[in-house]
Amino acid sequence: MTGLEIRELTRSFGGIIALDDVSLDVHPGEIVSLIGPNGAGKTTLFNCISRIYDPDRGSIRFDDYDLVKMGPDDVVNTGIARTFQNVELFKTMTVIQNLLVGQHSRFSPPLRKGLFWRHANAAIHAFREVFACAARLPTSWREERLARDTAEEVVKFLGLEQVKNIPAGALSFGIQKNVELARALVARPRMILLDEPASGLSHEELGHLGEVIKSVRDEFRVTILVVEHHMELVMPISDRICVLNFGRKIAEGTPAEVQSNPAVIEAYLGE
Amino acid sequence: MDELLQQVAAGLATGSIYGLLALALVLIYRSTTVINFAQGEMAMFTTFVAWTMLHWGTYWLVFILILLMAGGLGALIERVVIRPVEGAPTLNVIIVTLGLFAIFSNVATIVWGGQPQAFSHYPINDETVKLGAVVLSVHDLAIMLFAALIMIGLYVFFQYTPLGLAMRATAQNATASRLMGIRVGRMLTLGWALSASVGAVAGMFVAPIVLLQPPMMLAVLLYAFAAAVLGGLDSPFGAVVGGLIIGVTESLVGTYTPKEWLGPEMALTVTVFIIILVLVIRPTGIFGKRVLRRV
Repeated sequence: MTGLEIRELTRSFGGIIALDDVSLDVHPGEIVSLIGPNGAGKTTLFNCISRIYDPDRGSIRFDDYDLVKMGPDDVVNTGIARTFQNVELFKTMTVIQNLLVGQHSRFSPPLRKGLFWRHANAAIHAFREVFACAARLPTSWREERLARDTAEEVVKFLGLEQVKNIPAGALSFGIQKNVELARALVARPRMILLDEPASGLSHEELGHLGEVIKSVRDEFRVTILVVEHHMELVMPISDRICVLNFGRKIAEGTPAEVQSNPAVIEAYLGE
Repeated sequence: MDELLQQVAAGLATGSIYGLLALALVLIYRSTTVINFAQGEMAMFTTFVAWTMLHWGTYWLVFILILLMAGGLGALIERVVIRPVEGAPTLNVIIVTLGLFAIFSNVATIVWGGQPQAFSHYPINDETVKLGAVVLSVHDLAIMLFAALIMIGLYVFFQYTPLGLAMRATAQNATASRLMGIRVGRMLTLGWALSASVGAVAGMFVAPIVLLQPPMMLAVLLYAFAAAVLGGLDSPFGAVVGGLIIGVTESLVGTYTPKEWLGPEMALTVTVFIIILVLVIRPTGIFGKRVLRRV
């Protein structure tokens, strides 16, 4: 259990360098915030970890896994789940159905190192999946039961009971963000990436968010990496804060250290 | 009045076939936004294979084997022909499906010849059943029964099974699905397999009506296309309802159009007119949600 280790990560789009030689560690059980002005490269970093983007250079390791070698559909199997700034729910599905899809990885074959085993496993699993679905085998019953229980448990934890059978697309943006957090949690990850959890929330919802994030860390024993603008949210909950500006890491430390760092003050207040 | 009821019932029976083929189109469209123009020809091809196999096996055994084989064929086409153009513009993929259309049509002509064949060994006979004022053949009833069973089966599959949910998730948001650990490519393959199987059922029920021959699915595909557009190209439920509406329309227009106004031939014209009308007035169809992509 070494947590997340990012080393010398670089990614450019055309001539613009979105991430420039960024290194960052997130230790198990920590809440680390990634802050910085718009266009600082925060979401690009998330998308590199999620493997939506390929980094030009550098490495991303999580526990024993080399994420750069993986596809986006492997990342959740290593124990990393995420949410999105603008919410990427399955809109015509109910909340519970979203949470069932969110557990897809729990019943996938475990990741193996060797290429042969991965393909053999995938083939066996694909066959089993179709077959079990057609025959409604006891294993698929049991897994489904387990998945429903987990979904209900997380629904209760996040207070979504009232809306659990409503299509996700019909809910308010704030509740959708909450559902997305639930969908990340049901995968039983060891680490969650939260992409601007506060954006678009009402003042009231914002007030609770800090407590929710902390209780998620404590109850589900997950490590949390947050991208966020709202300092009122970030300061009280973060163990450490990492500041990006124009793709470079300009500061890292406890909230107090970062707040008094001249480079940070200049990036936020200066031109 | 009885005549009208009779025509509506007959329309519902043929409409079920259109609904099935429309369902096959929708299963592929909603996950890839591609209209598979080869859908009808694939069904024709598997029906010819079934006809050959009927020389050796009993009908229902062949029926089940053909569904499995059609699924395999659909999966194979997705993996071998469609996968390489997956990232390409929609138009490219459509042209690939047009190529498949030509291939299946020509291969069928080469292998089985162009002459119409009677779809022999069909176990459902032409006896009729009287339901109130309406007289329906057993064949018509079988079509409606099978269409209903398939639709209920698919509904349960997409609504209640983890695999069905994963397929819906893929159709709605591929990126998010990948991050849930869903193998999106595998779901697309499965979608093609499912679609080809559903299409094969349509073929098996068309053949006894129109005689088995390479062009037998051409008109059916057009009606199915109209049904899918009318119901909404991304809505399986809409495809079925659209199929029934088109079937009844065809039946009524065919019966009540005076001879001097084309007679039964008018049905095809009206169907094409419906396609145009829907695309102009409500491009998403009755039950569709997304805006139709211009292709």
